Amino acid sequence: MRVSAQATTAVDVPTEAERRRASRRHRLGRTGLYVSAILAALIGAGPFVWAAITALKQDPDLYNPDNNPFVFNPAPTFQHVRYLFDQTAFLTFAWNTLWVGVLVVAITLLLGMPAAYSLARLDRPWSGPMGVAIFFVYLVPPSLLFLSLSRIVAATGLQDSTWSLVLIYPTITIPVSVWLLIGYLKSVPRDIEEQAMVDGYSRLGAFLRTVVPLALPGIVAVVVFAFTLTASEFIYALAFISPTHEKVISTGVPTELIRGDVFFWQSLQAATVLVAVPIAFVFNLFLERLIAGFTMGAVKG
Amino acid sequence: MSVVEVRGLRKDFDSGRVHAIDGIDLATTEGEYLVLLGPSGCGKTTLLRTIAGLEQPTKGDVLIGGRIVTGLPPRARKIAMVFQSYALYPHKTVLQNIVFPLKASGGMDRAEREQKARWAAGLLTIEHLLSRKPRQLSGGERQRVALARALVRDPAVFLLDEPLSNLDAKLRASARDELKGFQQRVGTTTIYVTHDQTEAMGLGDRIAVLYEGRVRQLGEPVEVYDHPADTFVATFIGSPPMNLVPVDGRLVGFRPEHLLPTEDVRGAERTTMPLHVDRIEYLSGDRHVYGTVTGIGEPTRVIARLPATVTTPIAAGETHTFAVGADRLRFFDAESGQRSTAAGIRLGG
Amino acid sequence: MAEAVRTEAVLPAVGARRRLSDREGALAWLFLLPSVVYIVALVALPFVLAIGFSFSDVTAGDPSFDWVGVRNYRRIFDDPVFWHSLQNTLVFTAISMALIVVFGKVLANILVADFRGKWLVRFLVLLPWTTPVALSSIAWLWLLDSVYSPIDWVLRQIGLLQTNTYWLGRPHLAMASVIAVHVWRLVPLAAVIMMAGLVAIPKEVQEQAEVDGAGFWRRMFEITIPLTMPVIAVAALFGAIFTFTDMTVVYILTRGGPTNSTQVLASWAFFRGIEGGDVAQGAAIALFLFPLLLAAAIAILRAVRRMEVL
Repeated sequence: MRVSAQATTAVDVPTEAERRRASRRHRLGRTGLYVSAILAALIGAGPFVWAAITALKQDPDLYNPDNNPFVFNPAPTFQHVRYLFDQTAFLTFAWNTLWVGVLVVAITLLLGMPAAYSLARLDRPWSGPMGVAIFFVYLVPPSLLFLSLSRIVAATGLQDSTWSLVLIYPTITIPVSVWLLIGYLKSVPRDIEEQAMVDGYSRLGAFLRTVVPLALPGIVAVVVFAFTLTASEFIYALAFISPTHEKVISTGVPTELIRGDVFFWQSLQAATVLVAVPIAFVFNLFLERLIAGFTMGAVKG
Repeated sequence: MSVVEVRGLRKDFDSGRVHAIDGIDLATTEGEYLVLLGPSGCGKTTLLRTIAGLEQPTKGDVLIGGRIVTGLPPRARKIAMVFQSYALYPHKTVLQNIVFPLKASGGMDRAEREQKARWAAGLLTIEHLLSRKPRQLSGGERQRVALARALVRDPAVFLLDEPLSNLDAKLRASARDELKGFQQRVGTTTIYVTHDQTEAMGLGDRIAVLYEGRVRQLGEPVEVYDHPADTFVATFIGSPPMNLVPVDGRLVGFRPEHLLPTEDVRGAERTTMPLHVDRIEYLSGDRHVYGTVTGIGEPTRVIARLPATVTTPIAAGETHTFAVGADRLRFFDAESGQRSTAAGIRLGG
Repeated sequence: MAEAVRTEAVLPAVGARRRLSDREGALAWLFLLPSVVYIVALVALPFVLAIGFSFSDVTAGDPSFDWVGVRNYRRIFDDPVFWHSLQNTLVFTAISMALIVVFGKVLANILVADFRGKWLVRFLVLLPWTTPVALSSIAWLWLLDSVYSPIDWVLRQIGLLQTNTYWLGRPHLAMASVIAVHVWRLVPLAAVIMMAGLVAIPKEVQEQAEVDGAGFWRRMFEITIPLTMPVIAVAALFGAIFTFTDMTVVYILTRGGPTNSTQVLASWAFFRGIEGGDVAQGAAIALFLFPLLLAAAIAILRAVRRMEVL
């Protein structure tokens, strides 16, 4: 006994014209995708491409408002790039940024991993609120704390030393790293840890031997993310450090290459490109892991 | 005219290295319940998705209602699909879920849509759940919501992808029953994918057994069961599987329920064989006898299924003579596995 | 039949105390403690100190701490620049947030799709976020230069412009420029966060919507966006925080000019507190950042809780 008023199948079924329309719509969609992707890439990277060109321009070429900024009028020159490396402390800045970044990331992991583990695995009644509280630390920003922190930094004797950054930067990286790490750790199935505990390891041992290796890709993503936060930081670096050789890239480049009203534009642009490209490259390598971490943290957290 | 037809279908993955569908021609009859049966990886789900338009075939065409739909997106094909997970929209109520396809295709105002949705809900007896959200429903209830949503568009064909596998074993039997009854009431052609041969046998008007991207046999359940086209079908269908004994370059097959103690096999034409019994299992009133059979070909491990009505005492460790009626023997070529004849085989005994 | 092998089971001594590494309660605290102590020392303490400063007369020249009550607050309330900064902070953040969320969603959708050259596009699109903000701001400084701006050059070539646009010299253009740089910088981050949400939607739900007849826009608005709301909120939150508390972009691009028209709380606090030497006033100004941000964060998180579906 038929219940539904099912039309005989010939009616309503698609025709040849519909097929062609559908395939055209599909191709239009694909073209739209490529166009948007190219547009996004141009807007995102445009300034950097142009900065790269500028870095190699000669002065008369650059300081001529009628010249095409995207082409070299006199031939390109490396003189400004060389200036950056020879006559400024650029390499010192880069080196400072690097070792500060590494140390800060190390401290972040040292303090953050156990904290994340505690909040992810060891279910205490206060775990949930604590996790949220850590995130709320972000609401007390460097633009507020820098005044009092300069006092504290001076009191510890680290004023004007790069080490002050090593001390303070983890306040920026730890909250978000803990939040991300909680997500990664939660994604490791409990059975594996429990298996290790049955096999004879203590909770701590099980954690170190099973969870850490499995969450490693995620940990690496957090490392990269924390490093970009550190390299980008400006206020603290500006407020705590004056001597040139203690500065990091973020503050060194602007202050060294802008003397009063004189801007060493080509060298500035060269510095920008030289710093931007490697960081973006590494970040891109670990992008998938970072997204996985945000999935855990944002969607489930 | 068939509702769904597939001609010369080929689907490759991995730049041509994986032939998920390796040349399939299939046509449904109107109103039938066609089951695509096969082990995982055999291509049945890929075939279903290609019919739905979620995958594009590498070669060949899909026809719905006699018109070629290859290249059209799913929503232009007048199909309804139910996924294994039911894919209910978690943020919408049951009513909103059911109404969604009607909103998407347009042409009805709000009152009409709701009326249609309630009709579908009534057919599946879920009117009382209309304001709930999916996460508040049990597995069986979710299935019914998915079916109501499929029903509401008056599709030309239902495509169901293993909808029972997420249910508890206990629930599965009654859900199967409901599903079949539902389909018969509604009368829409249905293509149903499963790896469970019990489901297939119970639900299908016809079964297409798939393996390695090709259809091995297409026929009614009785046909597929009694006259399997090759050894794959013979061993995949039926539980426990058909016994296969190598004899003279061919395989002689007989189902466990046809292998009985000689004294219990009536009829003049029968083939006897001594069976050395290893162990006996008692399952739901039947006795499953595991042992090795000799005398007709190479010694082979077999299973005999003795119903409760056969009371002949059998003991483990003994050798007892069993027999199979001659009309129950099936023959297959040992190399190709294809169905063969009895010509030229001498069976001892 | 194999012989059952006898093993000597070693039973733990009854009543043995579990080692520290097994006592969960203690362990949980121990693991958390270092981070908590560190943050309390270097965030909570300075925060309290800043509050203290705001009620004092501390300056760079006279670091002695003397209580002056609400004098600093009265001073900044009398200062029109403060109110302008407050307004700017709110306006910049609101507009930036809206643009960041919309463009971030578009970018996220682009980046989850499959197409050739995806890796390169991802790399190029990440550059704004991964570059130190000071450096990218400098790049923009030249792009928006009143004489040499390449943007102006292109516009002149096309014929849309005769002379120069004083991007950073005219108040409204300057504000737009600051907002533009914020958006340009934060859209990649928002996109990355939202990609997480997009990826979390089960594929079958998307396919079901397709089969059910939903076209691209219906799928987007009825399925994808509702299901990614929590993630959109997180992206909005990050966008808000980074824009609200930022002082670098303003400092480098406009120094708060022209005539304080692009000043925000964070930059104004810096100018007053460090360059002006009036630490107490700087602290008072900066303190307004916290309650506003807290209110915004709570509002966003509450909205997310209500939309929790999965």
